[in-house]
Amino acid sequence: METPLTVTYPTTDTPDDLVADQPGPPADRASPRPVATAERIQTIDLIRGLALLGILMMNIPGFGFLDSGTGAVVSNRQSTDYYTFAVVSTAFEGTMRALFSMLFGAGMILFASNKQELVNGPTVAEFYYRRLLWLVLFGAFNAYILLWRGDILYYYGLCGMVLFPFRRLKPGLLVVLFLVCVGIGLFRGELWQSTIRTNRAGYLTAIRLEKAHKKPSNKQLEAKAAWVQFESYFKPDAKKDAKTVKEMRSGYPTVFANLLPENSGNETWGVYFGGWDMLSMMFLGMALLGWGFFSNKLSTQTYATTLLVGYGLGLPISWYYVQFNVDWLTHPAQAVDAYRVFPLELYDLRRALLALGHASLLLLVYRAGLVPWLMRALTAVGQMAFTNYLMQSIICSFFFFGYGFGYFGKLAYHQLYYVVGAVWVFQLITSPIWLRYFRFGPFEWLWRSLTYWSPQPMRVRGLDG
Amino acid sequence: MVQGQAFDQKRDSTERASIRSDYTTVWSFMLPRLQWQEAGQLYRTGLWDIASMMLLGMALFRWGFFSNRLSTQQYTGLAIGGLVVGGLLAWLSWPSFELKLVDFAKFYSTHTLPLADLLLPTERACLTIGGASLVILLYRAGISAGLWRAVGAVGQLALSNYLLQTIFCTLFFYGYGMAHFGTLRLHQLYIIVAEIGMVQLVASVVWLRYFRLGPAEWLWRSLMHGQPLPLHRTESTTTSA
Repeated sequence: METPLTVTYPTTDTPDDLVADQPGPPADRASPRPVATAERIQTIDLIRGLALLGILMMNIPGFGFLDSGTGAVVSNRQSTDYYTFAVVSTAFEGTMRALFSMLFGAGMILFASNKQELVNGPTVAEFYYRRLLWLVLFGAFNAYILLWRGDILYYYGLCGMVLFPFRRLKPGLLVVLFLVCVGIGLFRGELWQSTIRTNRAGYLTAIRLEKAHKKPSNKQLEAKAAWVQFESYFKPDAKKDAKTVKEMRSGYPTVFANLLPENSGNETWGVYFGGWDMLSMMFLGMALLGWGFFSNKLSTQTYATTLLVGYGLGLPISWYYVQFNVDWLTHPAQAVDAYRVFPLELYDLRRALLALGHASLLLLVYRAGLVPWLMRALTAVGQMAFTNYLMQSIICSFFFFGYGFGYFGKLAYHQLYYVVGAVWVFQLITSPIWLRYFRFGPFEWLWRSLTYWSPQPMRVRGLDG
Repeated sequence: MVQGQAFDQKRDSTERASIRSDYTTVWSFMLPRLQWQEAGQLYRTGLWDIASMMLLGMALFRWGFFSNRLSTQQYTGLAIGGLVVGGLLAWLSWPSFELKLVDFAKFYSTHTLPLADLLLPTERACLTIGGASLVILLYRAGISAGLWRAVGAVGQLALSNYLLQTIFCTLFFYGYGMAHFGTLRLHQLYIIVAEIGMVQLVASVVWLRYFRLGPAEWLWRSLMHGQPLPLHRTESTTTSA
């Protein structure tokens, strides 16, 4: 592969470093922008647009479907629901978040490297951290006010703070960091699995002893109780489900209270144990930016190779992974007994491969000029990714929760994807129209104005006066 | 919930046995606690507890409080005011604090507001500002100047001394050391505190006679700069301290 090993970041003014944000204080934004730069940035927005729309496929069950419902979906393998689940899981699950994280890492490099240090003003680092502190607050807003229990902005704000000291690292070293983060995730996964295996073994021994009318040790009894509790998570609990459905179809305070434990759990334990998920992909994204992958600078042959390798390895691994997941959801005990290492450990490998495959495919389509109108619309969606992400929370919470239309738990699994389709069409249409009149999406404007602590110009130049 | 607050002999004996065991047992026993501290505790209270005082410290620094720039009169006012107000708040909240420890059910049913928790931030801010003012006044007056020099040395090596306290205390209390966990009465613990305090006062002064930085400070700074910094006093200065 002919990948340039030197880090080549766009050095001039770029319109969109993370989510449709213009770098640099307002003063130096007037500088003309080379066409090549605009070209590169467009593809970043394009991929981000794909990731933004794609992420809703994985988020939609979290808005409108009972968690325990997935078990029922996967146990009937002839149903449309099952096919929907299998396709979405195999081809997309985790990959859109991976792309989103990669582009976030890339965006942080662009943000930090495109600015001149001002003589008397705040430093670049200060803008960088102000921006991320606001993002943390936006994340809390998305979780606790808009009531999206799968928010990632909070995570991104915190993980982003880790990236700054690594912004000048060579791509090769960034890949090492990516591998370290993945390794930590694997290690944590193995710890978790070994606990499950120990509990399962204790449970089996205790059962055997009790059958022989012998008394199991305290440790075995503890393991047995832990296993029984673990297994009960997989069994449908009609009473609990009915309660959840009732609460989610109630007014705002009830929905808020229902989601509170999960939201606060995510922001504490989710970040503490799960931050590697995002941090790893951010490092990889920074490396890919350095190699020119996102900025459409590699050869068609390279993208085609990446596509083939990404899908060629990724899809079979993913298929195997999802099949295990189905076994796991339907027969956890057998799955634990059958595998020494759960294929769940393939998660990061499969999603990295698939994410690269998706991005390469998109860039090849873009290069071939196949569906220019769709590419333009996706680019607009990606340029307003922050607004569109929060809009998905607003639209879906109003559609599914009781203070809106109250559709929670009413749709079959495959029907959820009609909602996804509707939101996609809506965002693909509104984003280009909005950007015809305004420079940023409304939330991008707010975020930017808060970061620079002064209202930023919003209207497209020429329409200003 | 009440049960969680109650005295549980079995849990206590498990804790004692675990901490008096070998390193791996202590480690597994501590793991959930440490994780709770780094995740749950930080999110719920730690951030506000620490950030609030950091912000207060930034304000005090701006006013010149820490750099000995206020007048003796101002420090006297702060010392008396801080200690009196802080002491008063402590005295006010003490019964509620005690009741919460002794009888949680009664505390819960008689208190609509957790008085002790509510007053604590103000109370400790007043007491620490008062205490710090008092120390600065004594320092200005030249009373026990030798002691303040030694305390200053301890403070200069704060990171090393903090880590040393961990090392001393774990080796004294945990099973892989002298295993004194749970063998001392509460007041006896303060003999250990005094011992460690004295060791650190002397050791810090002696260390700084020969070295520029404490060992942990040196490591931290060297890591930050990406190169080993001069440690010995005789070495030429290349980086300002």
